[in-house]
Amino acid sequence: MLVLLWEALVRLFEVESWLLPAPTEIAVALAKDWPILFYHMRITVYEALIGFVFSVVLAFLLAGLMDSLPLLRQAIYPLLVTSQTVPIISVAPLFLIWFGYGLLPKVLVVVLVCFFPVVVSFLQGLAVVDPELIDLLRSMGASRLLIFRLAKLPAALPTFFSGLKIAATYSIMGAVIGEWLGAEAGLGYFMTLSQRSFLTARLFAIIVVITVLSLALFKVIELLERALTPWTRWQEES
Amino acid sequence: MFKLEVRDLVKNYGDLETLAGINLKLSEGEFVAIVGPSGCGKSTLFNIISGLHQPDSGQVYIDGQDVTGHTGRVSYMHQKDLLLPWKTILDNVCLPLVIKGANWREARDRAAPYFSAFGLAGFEQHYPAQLSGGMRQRAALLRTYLFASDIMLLDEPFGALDAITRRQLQLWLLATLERYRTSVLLITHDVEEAILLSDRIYILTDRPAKVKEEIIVPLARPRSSDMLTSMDFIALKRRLLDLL
Ligand SMILES: Nc1ncnc2c1ncn2[C@@H]1O[C@H](COP(=O)(O)OP(=O)(O)O)[C@@H](O)[C@H]1O
Ligand SMILES: [Mg+2]
Repeated sequence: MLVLLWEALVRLFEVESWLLPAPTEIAVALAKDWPILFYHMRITVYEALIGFVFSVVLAFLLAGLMDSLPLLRQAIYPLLVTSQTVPIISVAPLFLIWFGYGLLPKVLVVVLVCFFPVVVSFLQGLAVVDPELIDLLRSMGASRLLIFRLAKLPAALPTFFSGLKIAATYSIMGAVIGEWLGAEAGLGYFMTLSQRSFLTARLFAIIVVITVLSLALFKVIELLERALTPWTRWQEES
Repeated sequence: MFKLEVRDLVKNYGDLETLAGINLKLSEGEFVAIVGPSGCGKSTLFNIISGLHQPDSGQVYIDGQDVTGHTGRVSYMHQKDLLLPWKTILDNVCLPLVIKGANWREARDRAAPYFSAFGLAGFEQHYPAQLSGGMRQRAALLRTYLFASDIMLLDEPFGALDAITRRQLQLWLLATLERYRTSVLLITHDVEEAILLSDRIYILTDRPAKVKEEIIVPLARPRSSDMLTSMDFIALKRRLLDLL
């Protein structure tokens, strides 16, 4: 609907295509530039995935540690929250100076945006488990590690996944921002390039690719969640 | 020698005096109920017997051995079923066996034969959320039984159920326990439940809790629901209600 209206308005008012291209023009750009788009896309996805996986592993370890050591939690949690008030965009140029134009600064930007939602959601999830349940397992003689595996971890999964979904959509964005600052390839770099040449239709095509990628990653996480938390289906019903 | 003996148990939480010298005994195969005002320290007593909490003074003996402060010897069931929502009923019930070191296959093989006696046959692969409250409590009871079949502590196990389901489960528990030689301590605030199920009843005072009265239930076994209206039952019920 919206796309049709857009197409109609652009044609009606004969908007210049460098200002606002019609959807058909964007589709044409998408098709024509597909091989090169695909090339840059692969690089961005690569950076985003490395950063994403790295943040998840790191967040998982940190949250697990913070949950088992309350003192550590009290010490680090405020730090984590304050770190979020620093705008990422303002720190990112520093990475460029410190780590150059390679893969590392992009991955770092991704980690910076993904890490926080995952850590916080996981911590919250680990705290929701019923203390009486912990007591029961303890009265049966279960070790702390076993209690973590049997009770805390699965109890945390639903909350953990909601953080993961947010982080997944941020990760592509993070990689693109990293590339804006300075890169030799990737969707962000390709955007800067297209912008300088006023190839607006191509710019839109890139935006479409970024959106679809973020959505796809979101869906993948959602499917993973379904597969790993089959019991939640019954809980919603009752 | 008693199966379980509690001697002079004292417990304070800060300034809050909770248990002020509790003494009680449980023989092999005996069913004993504990009745007392809410908040008087009944769950605290179970937390100490199960070893979760340390008493300030006093001891817990099982088969003559001092087990004060040691977990893992008696099985303990709460008012909430506390089943793991992410495990099937079969795996939930297997949990105590796995915690004791069995692998899941062995544990499932050992637990499965009990499902029909506990009215759970056919529900092995269901998740707890798919079962009724009464069935979940039976599953929790089976889990409790599989952990330690000789001494079970039941803390208001039917307290959260509606009256009809509760009565059904009481009668079912009576019939089931006839088949297993288990010593049971039951906390309840339901006087009829205490009389119907138990051989003896301890009545506790308000906090700080002491044993106020020990009553032997004069009803023969096997028990049935007809007894609920017998003269003995009603007389005992009146006496208990007066004491509380
Ligand atoms: N871990 C604890 N810390 C402090 N106070 C507690 C704790 N556990 C129980 N209490 C207090 O001890 C009293 C007895 O509690 P409880 O044993 O649960 O009573 P009951 O089971 O008889 O209703 C209550 O006033 C309760 O608030
Ligand atoms: Mg209680």
